[in-house]
Amino acid sequence: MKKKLLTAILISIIISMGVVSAQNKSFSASLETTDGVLKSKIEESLVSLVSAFNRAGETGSDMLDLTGANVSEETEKSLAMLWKNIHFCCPVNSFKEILSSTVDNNYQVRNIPIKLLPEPGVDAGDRYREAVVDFDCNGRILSFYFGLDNNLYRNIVMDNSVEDLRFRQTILDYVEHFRMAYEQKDLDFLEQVFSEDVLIITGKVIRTRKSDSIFLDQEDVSIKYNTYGKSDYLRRLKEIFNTAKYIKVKFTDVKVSRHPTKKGFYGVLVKQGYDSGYYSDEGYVFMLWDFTDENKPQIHVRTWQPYWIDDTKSVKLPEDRIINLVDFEI
Amino acid sequence: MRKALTAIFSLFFSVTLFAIGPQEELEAFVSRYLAMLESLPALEDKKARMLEDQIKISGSPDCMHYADKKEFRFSGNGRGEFLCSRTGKGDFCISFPLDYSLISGKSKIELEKELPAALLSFSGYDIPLDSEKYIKEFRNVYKCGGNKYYSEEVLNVSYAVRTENQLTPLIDIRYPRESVMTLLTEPEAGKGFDLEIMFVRYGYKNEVINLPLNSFLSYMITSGCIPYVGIEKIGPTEISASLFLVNERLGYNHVLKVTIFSESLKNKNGIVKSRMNAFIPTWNLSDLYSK
Repeated sequence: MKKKLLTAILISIIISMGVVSAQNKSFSASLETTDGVLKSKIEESLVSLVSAFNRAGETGSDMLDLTGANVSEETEKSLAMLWKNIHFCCPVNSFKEILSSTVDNNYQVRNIPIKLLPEPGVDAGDRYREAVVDFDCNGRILSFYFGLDNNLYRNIVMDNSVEDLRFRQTILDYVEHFRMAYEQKDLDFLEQVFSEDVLIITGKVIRTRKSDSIFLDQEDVSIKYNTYGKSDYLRRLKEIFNTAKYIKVKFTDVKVSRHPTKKGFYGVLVKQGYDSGYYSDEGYVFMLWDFTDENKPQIHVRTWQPYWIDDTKSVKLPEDRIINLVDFEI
Repeated sequence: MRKALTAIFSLFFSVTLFAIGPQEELEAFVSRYLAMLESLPALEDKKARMLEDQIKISGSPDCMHYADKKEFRFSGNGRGEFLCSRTGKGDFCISFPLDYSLISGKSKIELEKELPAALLSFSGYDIPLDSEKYIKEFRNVYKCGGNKYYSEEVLNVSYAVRTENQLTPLIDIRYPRESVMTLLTEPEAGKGFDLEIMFVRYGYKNEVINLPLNSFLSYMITSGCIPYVGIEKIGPTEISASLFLVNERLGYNHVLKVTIFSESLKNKNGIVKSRMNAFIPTWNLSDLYSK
């Protein structure tokens, strides 16, 4: 009996401690912005709003007391209606977020953590949400609503991966135009797409019989590289275009890589099949694309290396010898 | 007279006046390719052509005519297969690269040139909002889709609001991200908006057209493209987004950089500006994010 009484006293002490701590819980907000005056106004408004939620949530009141909170009349009405349907509180004591501008020249704070409080007979479901609050330049609350997908806005601010994906896909379009320019024998387009300082490198397999071998078919294989400037390469190409009846170029195994530091620079490596009737070959073509002018991307480097380095087409160029983005300093 | 008739005939066949589905296009390609092979007299020529086009055929092409099952499937490495079968009579299978120039029989230059006219003359119906595809997200907000494309931020998703037992697309200035996603994926949402497209064509050439946004999206979806949207920037007066129209079956993408003005979003009508790279080949892509 004595033991049961002690347990009951202990439990009631623990419960009362919990209530006291919940009632004393205060909320603070820190917003990232360069405007100090605006920061303090909006932080103050946000703290008073969230504190009103927490107070009403803890007491289970059906009335949301927004006395002293800097809330527009319309928002006060909509919050009162919202509170009739659901109760909630902010489960964190301190909150840090970026203060962003909105499309209608106001300000916005997103990702405010909100916990929906359980109601009898209502499915618990997903109890955590993130709220969004809009403010005017005086820190007055213009609207309060729940975000639909958490954290996505933060991702947009932090990372421009969408633009990068668009660039990578658009480059594939220009790579295809570049391929077609050879089939069209379109020197004018190639003149436009190659930058003035373009570096053209073409490789040629050189075979020499091994001096220490008695077998005639044992050879040392090396690749000799020739470099050309824009005008030299286009002059050579013009001769080829004039003599070839047709040119067929096929690109497969296309790989796109982004320069790690230089924004807008992308490397594209393709396996190229070339056929002009009297001559055909297979090789790797690497292109360094400069995408800084989206309307007119240019090629700064174009290289060609043979795919096979033997006559019987059984030995491929080793992967570590394929020219790629890392081989060039920009 | 004969010249005039020829001109009308060639115009009719050079411009696709309506969007056709990918299945119909694939069937048309198979029929056309088999007829072309049939016209080659020597077996060696047929083999050489198939080798050049990277085409493989098994079974009897006659099966095409009496098949009770026609099916397309992806076979990996940018290739697809078209299978025709009839119980008890065997199968026919043609395997081909998903190269849209090969499938359509037109070069990319021709395809780029024809697309503006095809869009402007689109006479198909506008796709209405399918409320059965929307699932309740929160309160009166409903969500459709959610598949991503390469990035967590590029999604095929649209939102709608239930008012008086009816779902209407979510276009609300307070939800710029969700509104833009909806505007560019749900044709119904585009009613009232005009799309200005600047086409990027071969040789750094451009062409600008204007058409209703819902008509544009309906055309693209009918052609087998799945729209995926990523938000690039939310600014004070405009929102920049990327729209990827992905046609997996026919091996190409259209990519648009889109600008939506906040004023248009607020008024639920106005001009949406875009720059479009069309028929970007994807069949030969091995790694878009190569290290």
